[in-house]
Amino acid sequence: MSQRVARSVRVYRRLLSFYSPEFRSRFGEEMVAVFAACCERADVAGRRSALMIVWLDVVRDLVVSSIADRAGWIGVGLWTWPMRARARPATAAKHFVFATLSMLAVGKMIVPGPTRRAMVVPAPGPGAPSLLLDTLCIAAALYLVLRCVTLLEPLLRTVHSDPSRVQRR
Amino acid sequence: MTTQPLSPASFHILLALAGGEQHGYAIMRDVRTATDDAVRLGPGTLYRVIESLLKAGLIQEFEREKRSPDDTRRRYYRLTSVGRRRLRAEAQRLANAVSLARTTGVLAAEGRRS
Repeated sequence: MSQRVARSVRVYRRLLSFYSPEFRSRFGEEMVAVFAACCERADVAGRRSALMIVWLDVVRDLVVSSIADRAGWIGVGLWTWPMRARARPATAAKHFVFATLSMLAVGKMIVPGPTRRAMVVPAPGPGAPSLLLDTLCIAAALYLVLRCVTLLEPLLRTVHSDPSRVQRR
Repeated sequence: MTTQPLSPASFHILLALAGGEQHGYAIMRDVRTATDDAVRLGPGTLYRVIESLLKAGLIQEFEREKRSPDDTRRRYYRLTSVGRRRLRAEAQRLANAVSLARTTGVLAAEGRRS
């Protein structure tokens, strides 16, 4: 195992803490073994982009599956939306913009002006509305990350499968 | 009794196991190859689906002896008889859907493809 792969495996092992302890104890070692096999296969190609593609896949998988694992009953369908959206990027982009704007609008409506101003300079004490806005912002950021991964990945995949395209440029 | 259709991930995992027992990485690779990269399962999704298939009694796991000290892939999975029946029923359901699509002209009939 190369140093690069060993480092990746170490990082992935740490990331497994996103999953529930039950799931981790049952499948953790298997997941690490599968991830290591994917990395080794990519590393044989000898290109850094190959390992990066593995990471992009894994980050998306980790976000989606760990959230589903932690909050399975909320509805797997909702959390797997970014994965399903890969098939129709244009529609997915519209949904994403709509979802982000809706969340921001709802956040603005719910949180009163003084609280919004107070959030600029965080003050101690309970603040349920600010917590809600924080939650909405985190959700929006999560969507953004997933969308970026989804949009970047085909580009990297193209470069990886045809490196001459990069050389020509 | 009617059963819910299987998710694409579950269906492809069962399909990969129809050929014989496999470990996680081999299942992942098989699904990817069989679907021409259309279905890509990461380790998290793979083992979440495997967990649900185990709970439903469609597959069973067993351990094999390590082939080498470095070999950590000791857990293998195989179809149960219930799983095989469920896979057959799902394949039949999909075949019926394709047949219906051909009848209604959504899909070109076999032998008439250009």
